[in-house]
Amino acid sequence: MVVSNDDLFRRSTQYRFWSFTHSQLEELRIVANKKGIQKTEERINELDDSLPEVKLMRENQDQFQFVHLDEEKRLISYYARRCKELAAFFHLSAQVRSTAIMYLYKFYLYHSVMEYHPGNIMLTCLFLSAKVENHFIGINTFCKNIPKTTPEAILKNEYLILETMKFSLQCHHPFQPLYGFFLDIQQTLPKLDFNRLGKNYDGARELVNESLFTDLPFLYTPPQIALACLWLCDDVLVEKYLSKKFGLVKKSEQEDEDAIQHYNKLMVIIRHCADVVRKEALDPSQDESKTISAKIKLCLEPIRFGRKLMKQNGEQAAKRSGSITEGGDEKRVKLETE
Amino acid sequence: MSTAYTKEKKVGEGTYAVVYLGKQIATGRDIAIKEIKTGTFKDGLDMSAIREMKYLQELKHQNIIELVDVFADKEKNLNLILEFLPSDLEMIINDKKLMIVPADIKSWMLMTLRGLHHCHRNGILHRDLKPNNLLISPEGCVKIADFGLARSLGMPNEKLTSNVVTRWYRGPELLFGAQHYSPAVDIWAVGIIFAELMLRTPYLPGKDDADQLVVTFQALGTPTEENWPGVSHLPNYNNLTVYPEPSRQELRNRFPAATESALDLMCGMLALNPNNRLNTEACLLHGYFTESPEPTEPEHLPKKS
Ligand SMILES: Nc1ncnc2c1ncn2[C@@H]1O[C@H](COP(=O)(O)OP(=O)(O)O)[C@@H](O)[C@H]1O
Ligand SMILES: [Mg+2]
Repeated sequence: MVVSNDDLFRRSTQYRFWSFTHSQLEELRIVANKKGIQKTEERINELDDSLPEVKLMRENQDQFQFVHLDEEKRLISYYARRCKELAAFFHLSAQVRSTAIMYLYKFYLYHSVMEYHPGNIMLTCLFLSAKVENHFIGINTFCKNIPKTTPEAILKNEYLILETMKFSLQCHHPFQPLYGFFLDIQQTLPKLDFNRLGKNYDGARELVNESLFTDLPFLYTPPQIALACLWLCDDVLVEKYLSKKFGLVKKSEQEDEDAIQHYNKLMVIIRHCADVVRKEALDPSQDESKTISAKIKLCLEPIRFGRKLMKQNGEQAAKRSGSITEGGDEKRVKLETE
Repeated sequence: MSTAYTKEKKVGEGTYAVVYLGKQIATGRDIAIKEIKTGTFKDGLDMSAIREMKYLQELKHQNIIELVDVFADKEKNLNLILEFLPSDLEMIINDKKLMIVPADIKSWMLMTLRGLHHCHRNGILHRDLKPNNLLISPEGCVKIADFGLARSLGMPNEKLTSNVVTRWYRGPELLFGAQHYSPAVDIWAVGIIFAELMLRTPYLPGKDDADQLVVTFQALGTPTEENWPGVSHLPNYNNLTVYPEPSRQELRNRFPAATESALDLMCGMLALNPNNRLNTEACLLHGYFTESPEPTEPEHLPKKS
């Protein structure tokens, strides 16, 4: 009955369904983005050609702007940040919050923001995660505290999210392994100053929170991410701890080649994770999110693009003739787009 | 309905699901379709359904019910496809025509503990172990089922609800309303099931929550600060009649067919103080499982008549 923790992790759905290489991740996102473009094109093609705004739109179709791959990623991260704030508002634990954020990122490995707006999906992810992590919030309480939403709007996406998750709901986050290291370091390095460890443990928890806004959870295991975050706070401590764990402390007659190799391999991973946490945690501005959201609005309802063109033409015509003969029309169009 | 499965007849109904017998078309294999009642809950998918799905996806083991598939039908009902398990340990205990010998009990205990060990090493507490949730395969294997109350072993200090486990199988820490508890709650339940298998009748059938305390402590003694430091601070620890712990001889009288090591194991699982209770590994390594008789091969175990 020798089954290591690593073996157990490899049996988890997190490993089986949600671990990727960097290029696999990119590939999934490219496919999702293409699907979003294709769905938008279908919506455009379905429009009624007899409408003047549609005619105008067809003439200027090359001007239609789809959401770019990179914009998708940034907007999702923008809402992942909002999800974190909302979780704090409901006093939800780190576990609930992190699981919701992971659901959001997972969802958009298979769908595009041009199909479902992340502002809506995020709410359902948080509502679902609260249930999954045993911190049930009633749908009415949940909605009451969020402007511009309804129970139906949130529940409508629950099934879609479950299906996209391949019905695998469990998420392992680095918090628990980090706590495990916190305890084990005290055992392994008994002479260590506890205040130093405590301070760095808190710092590392903060960085674990940041790591959620990167691709690390799809690329590395929770203990690896935990160690990297701790290493960012105190590299000397972590390297000392790991050297001792790998039996590399006594510079004795012959050093264990295998152990050195393992240690070096782990350090490469730690340095890489640390780099990603430091440099790649996305935090897009509200302005940026508004710009991308405006594009999504047109993708989800392309007729709006036609109306926008009409309006622009009208304005130009008005400018040219100096008259306001088209003003009535313009007003109507404007009302419709609101 | 999916095209991969047929639905034949209703075989049971739970709190949040209707269970049907069906077939996997590709293999002809019998399966159980647990159709989650949706729409009846105003808060979306029911918590029990979520727990069951969450944990069964992670747990693949020969003594845990297999979740074969999950899918939605046209009406967007969620269906859990489970291996079909026609009988359970409760039916066997209640079937008075069946003869149960000590080697059979050992075999059921071994399989239950192996399944539970797998849950615990994955950080998952079952929290509703009872004979009715230990299903039996046609080959005689015990399969732990019904993960509707399961949860993950969280961070230390996280508060848990003590309102879990069907009353007769509830450990003393739960009876006292403790908000911090451990895998030991499952071990207690298995200890009670062990006793029930030997007695062929429920061991501690309390009539209500208050009576459960009385029945439990009459049989096993009232916990005190001496054998369980801190117990007196638990929410429901008050106005207790202090019953002495049973002597070895009293236990021998209550369980006449049990060997000394069977009694040792049972007492280890029913230690009042959860910190002193055996864990799954200690149970599995217990001398009871290596002494004669050897556990009955699953296919030779008594079956529902
Ligand atoms: N895998 C299965 N094979 C055969 N029958 C089953 C299976 N799962 C459940 N059942 C039947 O359905 C009933 C209810 O299922 P269960 O999962 O125990 O629901 P509950 O959570 O309400 O107890 C069981 O008592 C049993 O009769
Ligand atoms: Mg049941």
